[in-house]
Amino acid sequence: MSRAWITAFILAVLALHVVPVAREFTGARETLWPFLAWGMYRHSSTPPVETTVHRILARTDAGTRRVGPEDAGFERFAFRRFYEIPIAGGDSAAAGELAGRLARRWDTPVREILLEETVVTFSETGSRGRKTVRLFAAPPR
Amino acid sequence: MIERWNRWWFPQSDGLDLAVCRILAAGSLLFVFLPFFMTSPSEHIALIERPGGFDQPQWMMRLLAALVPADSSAWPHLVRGAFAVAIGAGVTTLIGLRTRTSAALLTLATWFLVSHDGSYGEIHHPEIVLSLFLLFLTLSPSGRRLSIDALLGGRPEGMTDRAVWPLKLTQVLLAWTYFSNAAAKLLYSGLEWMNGYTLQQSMLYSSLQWGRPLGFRLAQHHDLCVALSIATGAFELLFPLALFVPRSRTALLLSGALFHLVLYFTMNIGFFQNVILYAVFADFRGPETRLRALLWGERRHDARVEI
Repeated sequence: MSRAWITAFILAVLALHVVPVAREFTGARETLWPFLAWGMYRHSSTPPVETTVHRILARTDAGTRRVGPEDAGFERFAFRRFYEIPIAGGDSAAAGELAGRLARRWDTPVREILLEETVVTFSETGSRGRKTVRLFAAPPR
Repeated sequence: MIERWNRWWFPQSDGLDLAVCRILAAGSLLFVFLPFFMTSPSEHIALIERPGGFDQPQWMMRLLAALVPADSSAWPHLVRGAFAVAIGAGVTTLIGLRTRTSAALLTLATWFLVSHDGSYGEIHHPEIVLSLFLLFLTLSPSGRRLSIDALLGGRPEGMTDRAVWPLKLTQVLLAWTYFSNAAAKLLYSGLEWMNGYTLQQSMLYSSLQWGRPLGFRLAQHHDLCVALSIATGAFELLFPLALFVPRSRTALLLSGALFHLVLYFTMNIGFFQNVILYAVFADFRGPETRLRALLWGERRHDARVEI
């Protein structure tokens, strides 16, 4: 490659990195990998420091066990996107799909999906957690 | 202007620095990132088999889907094929056999795998700069040194002006990743981003979500989170200095490595691809010269004994 071509290539790569950042100001979220905006975690927070975390559990005839991404066969972000977030939003169809998937992978019927929701709050006296559990009956197979 | 541009991007080099970075990039991809950090073949296939298909197909997937329909049974084979190509081409890129062709295949396979993974509604950043560096290897004399190609073809004489731009461009991209991140924080949140609560909040969520007890403990200390936020902002804003002020590099690169280690162990955010690529800032001629002197010294000693 001649210097001119390399120069054009360099400028193109740099420009393609600037475009998504500029476009973000218009509200667009770029998905043209590998040219993405890098402003992760850019929004500030104010007190109270509080977050909600979810744990999924499955009840089988042998007992109750925690369900992680590896149980469903998905990478952790995909598991969160396909199951954790929808089930936390009350989506029983996602719970049913997960129950079916686990039953196939574990080779045992899954009776219920349980969503354990914990709200953790930091205060000057330490951390505090409030836990609630929601049940989703698995559809019969 | 043109002269300064050429001096920056196209200085003379024997290609050693590029070769070392090629080995580090291919080696880390083969032995660290593909097996431990990237989505596995079975996880890719789980995505394919899930009803609904692509949510937000990346451009590479849209192109491929024009040839192979998204619901075709060929996709699992494409994924397995891409992994096989990535491993094979990773090895040949590492050892420098048909280096540029190997790097091209490794680039294609890596880009395919990352794009496929990111076509189901969420795309992530860690592989970006490494994937681009692989592309740069295909367009530059990356097999000129420390390669089977160089051994078979004889060591190339003289210098070239095409072996530094991939390193410089990767330096600029690394600086951009940090600087634009800091700029986004300041533009969207201003100095409020460093109020400590922001980091406490992020660290609290990530530590609980991804099982990082150290993050949970650190997140409870507001003052510490203020200090860490200021340190993060300062590091990200100042990183571009590494491009122009060589004396700042050691401190900035060490800070960067520490920054990514802390992020990983407190929030499970792994950007070790960037840390590996810090090698593009290094000058490997010094160590090589010392090694050669050592070896030459030994050889002279051997020769004396024979005489």
